Amino acid sequence: MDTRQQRLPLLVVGGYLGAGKTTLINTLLNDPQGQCIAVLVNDFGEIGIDEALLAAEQGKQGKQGKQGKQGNVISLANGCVCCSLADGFATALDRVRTMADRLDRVVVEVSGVGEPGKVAQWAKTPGFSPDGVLVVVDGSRVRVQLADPRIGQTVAGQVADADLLLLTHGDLLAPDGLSAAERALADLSAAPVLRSPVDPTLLFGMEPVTGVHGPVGHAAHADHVTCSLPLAHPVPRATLELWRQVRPRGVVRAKGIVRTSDEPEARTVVQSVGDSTSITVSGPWTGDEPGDGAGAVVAIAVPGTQRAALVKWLGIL
Amino acid sequence: MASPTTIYTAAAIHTLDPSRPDAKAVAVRDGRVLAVGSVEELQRIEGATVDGSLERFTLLPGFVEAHCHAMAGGMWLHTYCGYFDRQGPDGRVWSGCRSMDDVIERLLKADARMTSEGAGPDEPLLAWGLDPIYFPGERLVARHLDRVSTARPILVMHASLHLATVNKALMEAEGITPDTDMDGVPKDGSGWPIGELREPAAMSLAGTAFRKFWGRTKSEDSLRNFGNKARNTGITTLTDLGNRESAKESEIERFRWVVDQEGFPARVSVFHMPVPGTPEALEQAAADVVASRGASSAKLRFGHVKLVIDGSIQGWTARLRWPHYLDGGNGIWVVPPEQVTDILRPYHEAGLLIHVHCNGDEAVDVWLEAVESLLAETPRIDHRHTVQHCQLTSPDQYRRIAALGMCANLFSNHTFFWGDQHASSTVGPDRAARMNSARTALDLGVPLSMHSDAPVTPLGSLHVAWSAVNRLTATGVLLGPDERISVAEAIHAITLGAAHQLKMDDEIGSISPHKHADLAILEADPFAIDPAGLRDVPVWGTMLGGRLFPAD
Ligand SMILES: [Zn+2]
Ligand SMILES: [Zn+2]
Repeated sequence: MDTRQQRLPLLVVGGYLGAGKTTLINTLLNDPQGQCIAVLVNDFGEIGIDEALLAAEQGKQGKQGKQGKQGNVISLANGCVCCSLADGFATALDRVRTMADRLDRVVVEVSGVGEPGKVAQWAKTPGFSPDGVLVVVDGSRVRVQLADPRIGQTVAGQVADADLLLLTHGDLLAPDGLSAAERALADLSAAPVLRSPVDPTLLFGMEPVTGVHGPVGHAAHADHVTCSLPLAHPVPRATLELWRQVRPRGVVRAKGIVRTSDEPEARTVVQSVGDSTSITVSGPWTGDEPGDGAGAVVAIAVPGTQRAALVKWLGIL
Repeated sequence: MASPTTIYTAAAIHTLDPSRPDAKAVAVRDGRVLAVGSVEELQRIEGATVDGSLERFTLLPGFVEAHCHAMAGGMWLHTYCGYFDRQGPDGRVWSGCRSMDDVIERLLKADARMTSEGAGPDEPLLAWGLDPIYFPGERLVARHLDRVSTARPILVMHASLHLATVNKALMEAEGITPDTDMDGVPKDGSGWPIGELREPAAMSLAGTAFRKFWGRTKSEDSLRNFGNKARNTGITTLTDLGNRESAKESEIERFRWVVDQEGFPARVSVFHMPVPGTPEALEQAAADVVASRGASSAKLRFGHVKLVIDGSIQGWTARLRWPHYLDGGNGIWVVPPEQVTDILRPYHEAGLLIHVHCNGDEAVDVWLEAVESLLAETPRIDHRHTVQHCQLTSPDQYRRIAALGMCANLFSNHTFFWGDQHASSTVGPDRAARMNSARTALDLGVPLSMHSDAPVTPLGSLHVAWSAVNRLTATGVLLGPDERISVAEAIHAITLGAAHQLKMDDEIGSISPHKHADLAILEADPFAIDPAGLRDVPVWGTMLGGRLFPAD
């Protein structure tokens, strides 16, 4: 059973006005990793989502031509907090649900003052699965923003909500300026900090690959460090719990389908996005899972991460 | 040959027209005021007929509600469970639910009525208005609602609209189980959801019931209720203050279909609410709003703009100047403060009237800065840009509002509905006394109106005026006595003051020759009674464009 058909991964992209959310989303649409993406926009943007990109890359075979131009950008309305909390977002997600069979994932752009953590709650409504909260931060302005009496609390709240942070405009900074920005973020969040331009693989993660055999492998890639591990023997649930607690610095995403010795007849899905990891039991064990009989895990880390640290981490399982 | 003229005599007429403030008769021709004066004066009009049917009543200009929402009518399609007595659009008075048992009792009756009317067991029972702030220490949960029905799904929307309680039947039908893992779904000791759904994401788990709750508020019946509720409270002009679809053909048609019917008892001004987009998209939206004016009629107006930039004080989400809330926190922005000018520029440049929701004083600063920028770029005369709610506005801000040619529309009902909570919990007694400071606004020359923000508080201009005149909380505490205004000032605010902010004061707001014959028909004279009784003045009904609409 392909659970992706039922539950679309929903990635929340937050960050203050001008941080570069739209640029990032255009980057994802430009290089969608062969995936079909619905983007929900909720911002008075300075620049628009590039509709030409949407038209060009409609993703996988068999999905092409099923949707018209702009077919998967849905605009949301800004909310009136006092007056109504009506159903704007729910209606937009209902529209996404009706096109779910044509989609691989959903990206929700939160407004420049929106609370990404609250928006991420929608990923737990029927039809979706949480795919993390990415908060984009303007590295050249974040310290000024955090000190601003009007918006400091808003920006700090967004950073605190993040599973992953993406630092943009690093090129505008003196070398020590960037590290100061990173220090400011570290005070507010334990999330890994990515730097722009970002490799979309880091944002979408990877699926554990079917048919990988042998020892710990890795995919060569210029921008990030990847390790995958097929499992031959069921893993005690307690080992999974330990594993999630000792995640090395720099791990952006990890995903695995694991057979546990506690529940060998079920699939246990582990998923980690930056700072948050979930372990859920999802459906029966079918035997078609990737790996060497007990599943597989894959992890991706920011450039510069020691591969040995990843190997050691996955080796716990 | 002239159209027929009818002269209505009355016990008293307060025209709000400064050159003829008091009169005894009003002559109506073609739906408009032909003349106002004494009976003898008007009898000189050739061919006029005298109609004495209103002679025991006091006539005022029809009230103008410059900040409410059309969905207020839709709430009455659900079962009322609020704490205060409230009159429905059909005239029925729903007694307040003063205890949780009252709530259950109310729902049991509603369930029985649904069953007797043939509703299937799956048809959800929807209720609204529950305000647990009045039941300290108690919490409505599924277990209580299961006493009403174990078969029919039940959803009770709380007054804040941020929270709903549902029963077990609903949770079973929608798959809300111990596996449901969401911040807004609290659970009991055994891991079962207790039936509270907090914030919209969790509330949307109520599936069919959630969609029906909001879907009904967009129906034609909802709009009709809205009009009937206006008629019952003496209001002849309503607003739908902030409609994202208002430039769309289908939404324009919905309003035209209902409001332009002769039997619909009110005028409605529908404000456009900007939808997020690029600068080019906003340019286009502004052009669409200008074009939507073409769909306006004598009863229906399109073409003004409303933006929301902060939250609410009772929800701790309004943006306040230091020292913020008593707990030290501050609220939220709905749009980035430095973007307000950019969002509104196309609308300002298109010559449109803009109202901005600012509950907190820090939000007011942002809106005033935006108006300064917009006027520096594109000077406009008589723009009447308005601060909506304007609740914590300080005298320095009121001076600036006046200097910028802006208006203020105060949420004076807050003193009654949440004044006690504001003094004790949100901002403390000193700033609670400053809330909705109508006296200061008037003294500093700010054109003033006051509103209910229905459905946030009940539609009813006399209650709004009473609140500004008396400033009493629900427990009877006098909050900010120095900010009280006179009955005359309050009546001005709910008639001509509001009409001015809607740019309709050339056609409504006073009983003057040339204007529409829109009247509030009252069974007592608000100027002759003890001001403490202002909210209790019985409303006989209204006249709209010369046609009588008795209240239900
Ligand atoms: Zn409102
Ligand atoms: Zn408002």
